[in-house]
Amino acid sequence: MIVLAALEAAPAHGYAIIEEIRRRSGGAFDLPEGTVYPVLHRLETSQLLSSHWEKSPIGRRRRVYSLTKHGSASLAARRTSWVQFSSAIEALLAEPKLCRT
Amino acid sequence: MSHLIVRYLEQLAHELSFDRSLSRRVCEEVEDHLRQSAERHSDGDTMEAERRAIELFGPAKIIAAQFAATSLLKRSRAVGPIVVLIVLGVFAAMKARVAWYAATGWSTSGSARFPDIGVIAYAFDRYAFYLALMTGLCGWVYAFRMQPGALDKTRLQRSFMLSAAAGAALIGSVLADIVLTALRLSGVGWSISHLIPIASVGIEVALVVALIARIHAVTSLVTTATLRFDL
Repeated sequence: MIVLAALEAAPAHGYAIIEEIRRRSGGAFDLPEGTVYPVLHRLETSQLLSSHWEKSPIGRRRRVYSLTKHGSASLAARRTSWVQFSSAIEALLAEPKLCRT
Repeated sequence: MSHLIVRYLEQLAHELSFDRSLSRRVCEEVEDHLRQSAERHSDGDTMEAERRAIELFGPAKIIAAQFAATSLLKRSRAVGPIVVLIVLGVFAAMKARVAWYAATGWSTSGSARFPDIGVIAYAFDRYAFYLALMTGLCGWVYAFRMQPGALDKTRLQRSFMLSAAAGAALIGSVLADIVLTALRLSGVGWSISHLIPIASVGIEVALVVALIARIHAVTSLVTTATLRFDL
């Protein structure tokens, strides 16, 4: 879900995705960088992402990933589940209101 | 680029050597990442910047093992449609031969000489073919339903067993076709027109050989990768 969310705004290459995750999570998700690429390939195999080669500004070839329609739908579904789950946990962890007698 | 990134990419390519196309793609992708990362961490010391980029990326063997699971799944999924296509190819060759017999009014004297063998071979051919088609389709659906992620070796083995069963049944069907064709040809004198049924049987044999080679290649790949990464 994290990787799908990082690609929601625009297509990006691996390094930019890692940077985006780091930036949006305020550094909380400082993932080992190499682990993101197998995840990208797996999401592509599941047809949640598509990818193509592009030339970088300095002429290097880089693989750019983008969300597919299926990926966008999957992200929306996962987001809904997460919001429900986190709301439930939040309610459970909320400090109980003390009753005055 | 200094030697650290080159050496790291060589190691990664070696770890991924079980799947050459994946290895090429991943190495090119990782090279771009490492160079970009090294440029970001560079403060004049290229060697230190590259060392830092590699450290942040992680050990090549661990990264390769994570790629292996997805690669094996993709390869396994690809076997199913190949099996079904080859089974249909054999069916087309068989039907073309039968249509040619009918169109040319081919004599059935050879079959008439050995009626029992002909009946048994025909029944065997038919049921072996149905078995090949059914197991091939089941293998395809089963492999397609495997979820990307952690490699499920049991499901992978079942998927290969279904493909292997389809291959074995197809071999039986083609052997029965060879017998039936030999019976047809044995009763008449040699003529150039014999080349048509012989060629169609040759196509069936070639398709079966291609299928065996494919299943063998994928099985070897899976064995190599699972042993290398202890999946």
